[in-house]
Amino acid sequence: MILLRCHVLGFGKLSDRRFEFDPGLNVVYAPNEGGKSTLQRVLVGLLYGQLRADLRVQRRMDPWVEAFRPWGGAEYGGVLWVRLGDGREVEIRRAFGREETRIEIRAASGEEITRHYDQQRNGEVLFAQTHLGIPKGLFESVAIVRENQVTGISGYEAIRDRIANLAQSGDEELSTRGSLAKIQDRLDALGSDRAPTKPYRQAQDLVAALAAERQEALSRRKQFEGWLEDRDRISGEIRDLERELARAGTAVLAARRREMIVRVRSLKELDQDLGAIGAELEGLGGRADFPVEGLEELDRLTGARESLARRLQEVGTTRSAAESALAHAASARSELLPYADLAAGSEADRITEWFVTYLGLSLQKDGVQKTRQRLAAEAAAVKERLAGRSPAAADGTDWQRLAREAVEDEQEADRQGALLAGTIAGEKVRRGEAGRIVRRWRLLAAGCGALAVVPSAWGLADGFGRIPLPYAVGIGAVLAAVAVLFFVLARRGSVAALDLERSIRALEAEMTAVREKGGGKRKELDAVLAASGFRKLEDFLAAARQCELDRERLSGIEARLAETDAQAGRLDSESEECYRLLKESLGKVGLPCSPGSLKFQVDTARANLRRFRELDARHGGCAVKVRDLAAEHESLEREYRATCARVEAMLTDAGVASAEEFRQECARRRRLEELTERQASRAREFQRLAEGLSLEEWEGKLEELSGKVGPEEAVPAPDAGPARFLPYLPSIAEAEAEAARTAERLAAAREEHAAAVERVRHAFHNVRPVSEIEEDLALAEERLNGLEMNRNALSIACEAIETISRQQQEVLAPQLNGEVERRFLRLSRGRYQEVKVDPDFQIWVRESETGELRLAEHLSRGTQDQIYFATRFAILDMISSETDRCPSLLDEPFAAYDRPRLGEAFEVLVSEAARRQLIVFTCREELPEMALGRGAKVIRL
Amino acid sequence: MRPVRFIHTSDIHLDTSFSGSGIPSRLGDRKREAIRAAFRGILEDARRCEAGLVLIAGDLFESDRVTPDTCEFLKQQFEKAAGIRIFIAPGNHDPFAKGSPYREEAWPDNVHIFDAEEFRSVELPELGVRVTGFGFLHNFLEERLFLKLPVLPDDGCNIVMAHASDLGGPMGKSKHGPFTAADIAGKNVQYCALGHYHEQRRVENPGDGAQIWYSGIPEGRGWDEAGPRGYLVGEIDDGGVRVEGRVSSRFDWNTLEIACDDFSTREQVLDAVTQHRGVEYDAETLLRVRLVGALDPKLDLSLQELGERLADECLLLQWDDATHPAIDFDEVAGEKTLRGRFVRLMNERIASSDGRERETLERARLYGVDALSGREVRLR
Repeated sequence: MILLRCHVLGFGKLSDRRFEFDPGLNVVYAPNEGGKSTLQRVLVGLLYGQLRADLRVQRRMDPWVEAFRPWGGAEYGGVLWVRLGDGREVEIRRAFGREETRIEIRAASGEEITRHYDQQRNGEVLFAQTHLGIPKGLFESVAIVRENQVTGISGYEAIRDRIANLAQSGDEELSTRGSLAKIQDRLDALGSDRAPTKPYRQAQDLVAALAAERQEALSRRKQFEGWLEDRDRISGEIRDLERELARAGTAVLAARRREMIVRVRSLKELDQDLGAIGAELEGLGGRADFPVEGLEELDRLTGARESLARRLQEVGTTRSAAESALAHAASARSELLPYADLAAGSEADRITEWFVTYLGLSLQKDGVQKTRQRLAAEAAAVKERLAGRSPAAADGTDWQRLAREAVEDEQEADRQGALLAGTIAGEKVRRGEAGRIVRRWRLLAAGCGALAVVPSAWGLADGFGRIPLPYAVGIGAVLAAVAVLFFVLARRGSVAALDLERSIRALEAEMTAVREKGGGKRKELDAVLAASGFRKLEDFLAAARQCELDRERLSGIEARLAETDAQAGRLDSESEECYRLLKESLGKVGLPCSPGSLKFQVDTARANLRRFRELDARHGGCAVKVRDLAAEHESLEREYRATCARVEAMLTDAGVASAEEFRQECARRRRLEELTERQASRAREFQRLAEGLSLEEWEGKLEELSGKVGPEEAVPAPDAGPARFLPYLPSIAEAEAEAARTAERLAAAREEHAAAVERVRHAFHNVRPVSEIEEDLALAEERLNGLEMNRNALSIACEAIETISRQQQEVLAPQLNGEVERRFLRLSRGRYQEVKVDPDFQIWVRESETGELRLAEHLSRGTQDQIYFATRFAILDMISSETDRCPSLLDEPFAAYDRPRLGEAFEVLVSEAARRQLIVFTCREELPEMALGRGAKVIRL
Repeated sequence: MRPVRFIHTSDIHLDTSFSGSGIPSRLGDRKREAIRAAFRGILEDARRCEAGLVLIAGDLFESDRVTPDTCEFLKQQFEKAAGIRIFIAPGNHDPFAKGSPYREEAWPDNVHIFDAEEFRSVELPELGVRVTGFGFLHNFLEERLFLKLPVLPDDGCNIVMAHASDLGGPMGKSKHGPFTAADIAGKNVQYCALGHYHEQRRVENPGDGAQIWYSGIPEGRGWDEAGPRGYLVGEIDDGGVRVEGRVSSRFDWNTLEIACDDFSTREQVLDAVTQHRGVEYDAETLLRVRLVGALDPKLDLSLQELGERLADECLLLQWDDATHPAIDFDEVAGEKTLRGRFVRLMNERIASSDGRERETLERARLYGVDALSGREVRLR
């Protein structure tokens, strides 16, 4: 699209002004506040209208609409003529202002074609968007280059960021990073479930707390139902207990009646008992003052008297027997009296010791004798075996060692012989070579000698015509000398050959001597083997080894024989000493001693000694016993007499004649006491049961109680025996205890019931009603849901933007690369041959001279400006329509540029103007000059 | 017969929860108090107009929420109305089940509770009326019990009461104790007092002259129960039955819809709400403001702040933000920019989603576009 001309009817300070534009570069010059920005705003307004770009429904004006209302009251609006990409010219007429909004689009023919364009819901006609392919917002951010955008560029980083922003968001000031940061800020503000101080976690905690509270309230309700059941159950129990208590009261009365029946019956029985006791007392007639307390003493004394009499008789019998035994023991002891000394000392023990020693020594001597005989037999056998061996094998020579040395000598002789044989072979080769050389020298000497005579002979035959004589002689002499030389050499070779021959013979002799020496010991062994009768050397060596072992064994046996002889002598002397001692001791008790009867005599002595000791002990014991029995008999007689005297005294005191009579008097007195006591006891029991009432009164009370309780129960008679199938009838105490227990249980149940009622009444104290909790929970859940949805939404947005941003970088960078390269290479006039834009929007250029790829930040400032403008226009191409190229408006883009930098940047515009219409608004005076110099249109406001 | 006056109410829902309406518990308490007050007012009205009967057709309270305090309250109120016979037909929210206060509490002698899922009659010879009804034993009743309603003796006035669902009634409400008017016709019924549906209405009965009424709820319980609510006062004599509706509700629920298309400041929203003061709402109103239309993306609603500024205007102010951003996402999707690509991607994902996921994705699109347009990201 190309803006052809514009008629501003009224817009800010511009009123009824007409402007014409070239298709290429246009420079609108005006001093500051000269209306440049106004004209730029008019053009955008005429193209895109006055409604806000970010709303599609509402008719909301852009902020500038009121600001640019004409100062002089002219019609607020204008007309713009444009040429479209297909060559058609179109006129756009717009009236601005909230009330005056109007648009007319006409073709060159004057036909209104407004309705041919789509409208937004707020009525905005999408004319420019249809042709340029970009909405108003994007046109303003991409197609318009503002002063602040360019002056704000302070370095390469800023350029790169701006390009990245522009390429991605369509706005240099709007970075994806910044957008993501805004979303992330919001996410951070919401927090996560790991941030307890942030709203999201707090909402979660609140929901959890309220849910728990609700659960608790519901549990309490369940519990409450249980409490209600408890309360009802206890009520039932109370009713049961009340019935039970009534039954217990009845049981008490029944028990009392039963008890009263028994009491009346007992009173009657007691009354009868008392009557019978009185009658018996009257008929008894006993002495109340009889010393009945002495009965026990009397019984004890009479018993003791009888016991002492029996004991006196027993002791007398025993004493007679003891005296008889003492006499018999004394007689037997006197027969073995010689043994008294032996029994008193320790010699008896030594006799046994000597005898045992003597026997042991005899046994040892026998053993030694047997050992000696066995060793002598073994020595004789070894000697006999040695005598049967070969003399050679048995002569004591170490044949094993000799055989080993023979083998080693042979191996050494073979090794030396092999060395000598090698040497001899070498010498023989040298001798043959020397012979061939000698023969060669001899042949040469003979040849030279023969040739030495040829010139002379030829000269002679030719008459020395062709060969003068001196020459012939000379040649002959030389050849002769050579022949002599060869002969001498042949002679020397013969001498050397002879030397070698002698050396060979000496070596062969030496080899023979070595071999003979090595076989010496082998020959010696072979001779011994032949003499021994063995066929194999191994057998001979084994026999020699066996002989050696036999000799060693024989010497050992002989040494042990000598030791055995010495031991036999020692044992003989010790045995004789023991025998002497035994003989002396046995003689003292009159026993004879000989080696043959030694054991018998020793045994006899020991048996007699043992017998003497027994008799001696028995004699002593009998004597002691006789003495003790005599003393005991005397003591018993004294005690018996004293006991008899005390019995007589007691009987006299009691006034009875005998002990039996004493006992009968005691029995009568005891019966009297028993009856008296029984009479008193029955009387007391009667008093206790009657409780101050008479029997008749009790019978009256029983009759009265029976009337209260009802029909009388069967009260078992005391002697009726167990009634197996009758019900258990409790006593009064049991019935009263049962009633008390029931009353106690009833009281406890009533207390429990009161507690249950109280618990039910206060069941929901301090517990919020479920409804309240549910309301708060619903609100909390709603808030949590909202927060969760926002968290998810923000996360999704963040993730999507990051993903798309990465994808877009990868797609945009190559596209941008081509667009930028096309523009920049033309500007660089061959200085650079390639431009690369990477996915991070870093720009690289390749130098033509060096072929080196350099980052744009290392280029000059002017070159960086060129790259910036080239990239901006490239992005405009990328996002706008491909068929209708979008014009670009530059609002004071070079305000801060110095002259050289301005020149370089201006080159970009000149170059780009070949592709699209550019309208540069400036207040710099040199720019119109430069523009005129490059054939651009200059408009001065 | 001498005229007999009666009160017909139902669905009082004492101790109900307002969690579904999104109101905080402090206001829930006030609402529950209001329901009590409404019920107390009904019984006072019964005494005032010398009614002989009070018919409570179910859902007097909510069994799983009822508190001992409420039971005491009911007993006190019933004792105050000692001269009036009170009949209760338990419904699906207050069934005559184990643990129910109907079973557990001792009710005054003037109260009769129908405790079986079959029609039973109570003769009131002093009034010349027979009251027949049934009660729920569980929180559901699918059986069509009205088919088992016997033909009642034609010896006086027959009133039938129950918690039941008219099969010709509004859709979406659970059908407990279903019936049709034909089930009642021809059974000598003069008046049928029903509960369950919260709208006060008469059920068409082409079969005979029996009047079948839903008394409606005495105090609205949610945003869908806006407007005045009440109960029925009836009179029966030889001339037939005359029924009159009376209002008992105290707090009104109201929803105000505000179109935000032309707003660019919060003050405009405030003005749009407050201009309805005294007409659509007052200090006793639970007000829900539903914001609709396309919202200028530069307008920061800050509903919490707006709510604070309007806090004294009504009992409860609840915002329902149903606006959509005034951004032409289709146009943005046409841009050859990152923002365009983002919107295209989100549009694709939104198209293939629904429900909560769709709502999340729409928010994600809005937040992303806000961020990519250089605006502050304002959370909804």
